[in-house]
Amino acid sequence: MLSGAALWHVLSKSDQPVMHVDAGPTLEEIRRTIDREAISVQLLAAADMLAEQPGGDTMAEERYRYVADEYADTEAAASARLRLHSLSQRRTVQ
Amino acid sequence: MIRLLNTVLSALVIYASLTAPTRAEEPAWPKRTLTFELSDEPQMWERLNPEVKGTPTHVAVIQFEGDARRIFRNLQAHQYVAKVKETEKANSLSDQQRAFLAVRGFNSAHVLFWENDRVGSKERHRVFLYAMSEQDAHTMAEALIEVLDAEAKANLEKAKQLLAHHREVKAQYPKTIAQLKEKLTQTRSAMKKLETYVIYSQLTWDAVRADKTSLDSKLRAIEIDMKGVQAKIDAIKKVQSQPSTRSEIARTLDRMLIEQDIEMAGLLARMQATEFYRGNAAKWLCLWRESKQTLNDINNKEAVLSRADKEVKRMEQILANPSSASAHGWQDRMYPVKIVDNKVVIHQVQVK
Repeated sequence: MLSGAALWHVLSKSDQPVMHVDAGPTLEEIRRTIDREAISVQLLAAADMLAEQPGGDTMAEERYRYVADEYADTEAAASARLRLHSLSQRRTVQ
Repeated sequence: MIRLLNTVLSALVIYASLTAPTRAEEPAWPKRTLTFELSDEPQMWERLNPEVKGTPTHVAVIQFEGDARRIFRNLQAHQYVAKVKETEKANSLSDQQRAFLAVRGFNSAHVLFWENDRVGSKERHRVFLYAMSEQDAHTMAEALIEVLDAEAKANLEKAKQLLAHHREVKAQYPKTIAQLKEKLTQTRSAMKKLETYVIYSQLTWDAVRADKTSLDSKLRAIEIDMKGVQAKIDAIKKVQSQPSTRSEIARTLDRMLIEQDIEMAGLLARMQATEFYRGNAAKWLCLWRESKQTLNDINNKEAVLSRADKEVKRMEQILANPSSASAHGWQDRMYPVKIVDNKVVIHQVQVK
C-alpha cells in the first residue's frame, strides 16, 4: 500500500527548475519541463488525498506549500495556491 | 351463634367475559352464590388513626381459602380499598362509608385487614371489612370479591393472549424460517460466484476487508499516476502547438505522446481490473454480513419456535385446569377466589 505521504516522498525527488536560453529550449529542457508538470500534478493529487482524510489538513497544507514554492512555474502551483487560500479561509471561519 | 340472615341475599353471577371465543378445553367461569349471615358475636375495632371520621358499626368477615400470595397478589390493604372504591358497587355505599374509606393512614387497616389461619393442611385467611352500616358491610364484601375475581379474569385473559401468541408463532415461524433458509442459500451461492473472481488472501471477513483496503490504496496510486501521465500529455501538446518547434524535436514529441498514450491505456486497464476486484470484495463483505445476519435470524427464530412449542403445551395444560396452574410454574391466579362455604358473616362492631 502506497500512502499519500509515501507517494509524496517518491515524487518530490524531482529535478530543479529548468533554465531557459534565448536560443529556444533543447529537447532535454522540454523533457524536464514535461516531467515537472507531471510530478507537480501528482504531488498536488497526493496532497488532495491527504486533505480528504480526517485531520489531514495540516499535512496537506505543507504539501501544497511545497508545490507552490518548488514548482512555481507549473499549472499545479497555481492550483496549490488556491487550495492554500481555501484552507486558510476555512480555518478563519472555524 | 350465627343466625341465617337470608337464604341468599345476593348472588354474584360472573361469567367469563372474554373477547375470543371460549375454546372447548378451557373451563367456563363458574357461577358464584354467596350467603350473608349476621352474627351476634361482636368484633373489636380500635381507632388507631385519629383522622378517621366516624365509628364503624358493622364488619363483614370473609374467609378465603388458598395461597395468600395468589389471593392478594402481595398488594397492601390500601391498594385493595382503592380498587373497591373503583367498582360499580361502590356507588351504592353511604356517604359516611365513603368518608370512612377516604382516610388512608395506617395502611387503611381501619377499613380492611386480614389475618391468616390454618385449618389442617388448608391455608385460610380471614378478611375484615369495617363499615358504617350493615348494608355498607354487605356492599364492601361484594365489591372486594368482585375485585378479586376481576383480577383472576384479567390473569386468565392474559394467559389466553399468551397462548394465542405462541400458537401464532407456531403457525407462522416455520414458513418464515424456510424463507430465511432460502435467502441464506441464495446469499451463499452469490458469495461462491464472487469467490471465483477473487484475489483475496483468505476467505475471511478480516482478510477480505484488508484486501479491499489495499485495493483502495492501489486505486489511489493509479489515479495519481494517471494524473501525471495526463499532465505530460497536456505539456507535450502545449509544446507541439508552438510553431517554432524544430522538426527533430517535433518527431521526438510525437513519440513521447504515443508512449504516454500507451502508458495511459495501461493505467486505465489496471484501474478497471483493480476496481473490478475491489467491487467484488465490497460485494463479498456485504453478502458476508447479510448471511451472518440471516443465520442469526434463523437461529433466533428456531429458538423462539422451540420455546413456543413447549409454551403452547404448557399453556393448554394450565388453561384446561387453572387451579393447578402453579404446578406448571404459573403463579397468577386465574380462577375465582375460593370463599369458605361461600359465606360472608356480618358482625356488629365494639370499639376498644
